[in-house]
Amino acid sequence: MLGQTFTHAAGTLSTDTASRFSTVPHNPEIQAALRAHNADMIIVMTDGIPETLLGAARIKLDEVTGRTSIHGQDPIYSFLSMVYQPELWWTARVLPVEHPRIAEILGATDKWISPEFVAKNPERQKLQVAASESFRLRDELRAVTDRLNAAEQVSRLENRELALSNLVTPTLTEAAILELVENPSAKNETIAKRAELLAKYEAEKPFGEAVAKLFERVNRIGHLHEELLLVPNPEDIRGDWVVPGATLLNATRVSTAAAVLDKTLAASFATGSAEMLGRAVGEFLDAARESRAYPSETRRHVKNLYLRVSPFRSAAWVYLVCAILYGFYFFWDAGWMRKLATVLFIGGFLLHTMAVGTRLYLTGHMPVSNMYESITFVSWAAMLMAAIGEGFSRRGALGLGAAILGFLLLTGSSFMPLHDTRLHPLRAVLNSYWLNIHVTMMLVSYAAFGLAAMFAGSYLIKALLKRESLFGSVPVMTMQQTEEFAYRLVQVGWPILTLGITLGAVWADTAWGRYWGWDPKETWAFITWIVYTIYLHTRIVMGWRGRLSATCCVLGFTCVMITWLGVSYHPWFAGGLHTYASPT
Amino acid sequence: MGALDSVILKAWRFFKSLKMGILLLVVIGAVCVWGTMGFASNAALGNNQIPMARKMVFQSPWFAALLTLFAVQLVISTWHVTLMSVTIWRKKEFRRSPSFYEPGSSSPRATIEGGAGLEQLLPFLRKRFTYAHEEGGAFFAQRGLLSRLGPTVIHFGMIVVLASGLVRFFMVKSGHIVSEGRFIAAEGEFSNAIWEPIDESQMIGGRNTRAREIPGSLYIRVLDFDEDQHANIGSPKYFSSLIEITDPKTSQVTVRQLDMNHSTALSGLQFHQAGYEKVEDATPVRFNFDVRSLATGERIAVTDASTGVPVRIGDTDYHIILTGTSPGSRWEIFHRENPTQPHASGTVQGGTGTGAMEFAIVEFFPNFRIDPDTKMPVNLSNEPENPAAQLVTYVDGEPRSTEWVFLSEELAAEVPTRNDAFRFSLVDVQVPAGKEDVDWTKPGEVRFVVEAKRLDGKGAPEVVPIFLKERSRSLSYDIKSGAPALTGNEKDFQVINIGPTTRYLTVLSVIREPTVAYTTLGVFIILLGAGMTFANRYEALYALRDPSDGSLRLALIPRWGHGSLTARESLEKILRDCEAELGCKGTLLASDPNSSKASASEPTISDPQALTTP
Repeated sequence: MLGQTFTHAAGTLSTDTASRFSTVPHNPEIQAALRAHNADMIIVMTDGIPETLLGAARIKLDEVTGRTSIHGQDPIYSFLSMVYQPELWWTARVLPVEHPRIAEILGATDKWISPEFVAKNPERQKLQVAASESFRLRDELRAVTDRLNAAEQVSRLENRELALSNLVTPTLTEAAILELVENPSAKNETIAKRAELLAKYEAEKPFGEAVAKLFERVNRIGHLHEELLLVPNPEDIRGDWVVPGATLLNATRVSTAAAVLDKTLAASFATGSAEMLGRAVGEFLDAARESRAYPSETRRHVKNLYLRVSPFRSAAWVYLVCAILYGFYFFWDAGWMRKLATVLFIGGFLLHTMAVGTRLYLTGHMPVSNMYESITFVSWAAMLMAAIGEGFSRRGALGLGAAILGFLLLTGSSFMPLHDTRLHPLRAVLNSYWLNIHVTMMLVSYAAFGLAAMFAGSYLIKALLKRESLFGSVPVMTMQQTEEFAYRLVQVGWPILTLGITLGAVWADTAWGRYWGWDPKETWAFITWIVYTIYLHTRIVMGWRGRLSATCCVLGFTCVMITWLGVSYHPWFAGGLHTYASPT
Repeated sequence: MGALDSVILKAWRFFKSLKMGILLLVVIGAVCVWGTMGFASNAALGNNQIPMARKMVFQSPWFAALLTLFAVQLVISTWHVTLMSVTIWRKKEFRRSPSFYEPGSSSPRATIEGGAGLEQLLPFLRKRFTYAHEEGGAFFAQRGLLSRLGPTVIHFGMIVVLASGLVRFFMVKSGHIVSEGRFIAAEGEFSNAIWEPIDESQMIGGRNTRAREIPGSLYIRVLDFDEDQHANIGSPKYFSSLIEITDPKTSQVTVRQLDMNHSTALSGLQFHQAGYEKVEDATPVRFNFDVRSLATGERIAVTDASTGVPVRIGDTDYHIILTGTSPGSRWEIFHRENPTQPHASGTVQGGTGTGAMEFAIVEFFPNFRIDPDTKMPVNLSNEPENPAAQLVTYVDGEPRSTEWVFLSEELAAEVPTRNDAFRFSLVDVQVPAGKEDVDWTKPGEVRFVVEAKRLDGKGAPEVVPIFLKERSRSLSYDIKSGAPALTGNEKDFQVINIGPTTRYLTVLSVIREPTVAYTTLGVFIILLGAGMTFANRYEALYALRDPSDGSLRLALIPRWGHGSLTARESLEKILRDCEAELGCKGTLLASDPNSSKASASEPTISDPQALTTP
């Protein structure tokens, strides 16, 4: 029946939601039973983190279908349904078409297709061949780049013979390298070829990646049971978890209960009846209490609450509303709007604090171990400073600046595909109390500099427009006050940055046996420090004010951005020992 | 001559000015940008980025000269402020000009009406300020002196760090410093050599290495390497080395543990964990030992060890030494405080299986049949009608089983049938493309695809392609022990061999940095200065009595690091206290945002004379 629906749908490729929904397995009884018996408290080991079933389901659904919930279904139901009745999902249109060429080649006119549509599509081979072009280009580009890089190193390094001996590989001969070193025209031709290949590859890359992802999704949808790691194995040296039914040398109560749960789930999905499900889930959770590896009930509750509330995203929207209200206040000078905005700001900040605190509780370390966490933490620190500052000044300006910054940073970090919002196991090199001290201090200083740059920037805009007020006719802050605010914030940030860099050097000595290694991240932190040192000394001692001082402040924040994001993302600045400060 | 003197004087004035300091900072910053983007972040330089950046820029003589110039300039330009700071408690500055007490833009001003209570002003101020003085109706009081001294201490710390860096530069050039030498040895091995790059502008490794003796002729033995992994994903969570350092001159033996975040120092050398590798085809093989409590049977720790090397048992105070690693060998467990007398000893028990297996296809029959008479396998023809391969499994290099595996689905079997770590089955036989006459018996001609499935059901089966008579790579994982039989004098422990494990090669970075103590001192001074800067808040109170009506004018000048808002609050509090204690009513004057008084009359660092004792 479902196959027929799919055939019909594939033929007409309707975009109607109801039609699409009809292709997706749906059983309200099982869904309700899972919810009623706290199935979300079950733990599934997912990428090295013991996730609650709710978290694991969202992650797996996102990986397989590109979204965390399918047609409003409970993610737990959708995920378990995929695990236990993959044949039904085989015909469901749940895979996103992420590139128009895929739709063109496969003949799909809807943006959602089924795994079967891909697997049985006569043009599947053609799609693979077309996608392989991007991989061919990538390999060719890599080979050309390696050759050019090798030539560059040979020409710049003092000991040419040594360099050559280390650079030659089975695919990169000494003659090929030396040709570029000794023949400038050949080098120029190769540079031109690389530019051409790069342009082609950049054009082909999204298509190739989309196809690779599509095939991976098709392959995974039938094998999700292998990822259902429900059973902690106390005998395992590494602490690995296993799937229900896996052979353990010494069966435990949890493994037995998991096997029962596994069979019950399979039977429930096969028959459509949830009669036995509640008991199986309850017995499993009861048995799981005995396992030392199982996270506490409080921890699981907190995790699920965090997932359901999505406090970072919620806080972002609150900040947006708050910024709009502050904006209205500046236009119409209505005091009640400022008060309302301030109340909202406090609400948003509390949500934000809850999110940061939850991550701290769940991971056991300050949430600053990857780029997503660092962005959310910087925005939190900025909000904290703004809240304190606003408490003193009561002008609304700090609130407005902070609300805009908070909204931009939180939405940017939550919605940018570059960032992974999940919890990840801590990298070995970051497994130190210094993480909590050094990184936290650096990020707090960035927060102060971010706010300072907003004020300095608004000062420069005001100076450029020759207006005392950016909003409305009544200036809430004079230009002098705007610039003064920036200065005060730098006064907060600079000592913290100095301490952060110094303590980072102490960590480097502890871990790497030396204080300073001129690693790009270290060097850019030093450059940032120099710029703000110049800013403070010129302002305090030489009496610089106005545009010059504000420009210096903005320049300082540009250096902050390079230190913080540029070294992690941009190839111009990347490299070195701090590569763990990567996007994920 | 006079003109020349004037030029020299001007140059000297410029050199000792803040402008010169700023200029030098700008140049240093620009050099850092160039050193980073031109070298340290230059992808074209591959692994040589940072070595090149160090050699060409950051550790070059001209950069050292630039930093030296900055250090000298820092000393000269801050000299007078430093003198003022270190004599801050002697400061007595009285302001008698009425214009000084006019409202300014940032620091607050106030007036207090005259009254009898004002006679007690000096004792009143002395209660609230560290120092308070009066001279002819003018008052001066100051508090928060630590804060005033903090920046000077920071400057001094910076000078110490820069001086230490300069000394280091010369010591590196003269060969007195070992910079990032590498010590590499596998678990159980020892060495007295470290490896250095031949060309320092290239990454150490490959042919860019040369050995030298460890300074002090020390010998290092790697007792153990421990890697703790995250569950299921296998990425490292923690790794550490236990090393034994022997000084042959004194015969002193020191055991130290270091991990990825904790280096260790000994005999002037700093050791830190730079990396590690898994040793393929390790000899001697290391084994995992499951150490359990004899009383409860609960696991205490799983540790890996090889013969004769002491290894700590988890986080306990005990260590274990094995006379051999195979089941039946002796083990001895010592308490840390009694390392010569075994606390317990016993015999290593064997587990139910072993983790490391290899296999080989030793014979292939395209058309396999069992001869009805001899009951032996025979090949009926060269047509692949019933392909079968004879598969030999090996455990620890020794043959374990010899069985046939079949391609046909009806006969497909998993071997060996006994309880080992892996089960193997034949899933494909591949012949060279386009070749008509295939020689089934020729090694390197036909490729067999064997699926290796873990007995514990964990993980996806591995597909291993292999040619005839070729030995596969070692397939291993940690498997578990069954309940052992107990023998010997175990006391509290039982020790079970649970199979061979990976042997690691540890890579330590060895650095000799005599200047590190001075850098540490500089860092400490900087931190001390930062602490002092924020320990309290420097404020100077100036007051002048008006002889005409007896009223008092006040000005509170905060240190540069504090805002007018906090200074205003401070002065407000003084006025409140004054009214409460002395009965004199004071008024805070409204600040004048457009006043130029602040820069004209308030003392700043740029006006150091105003801050020094007249």
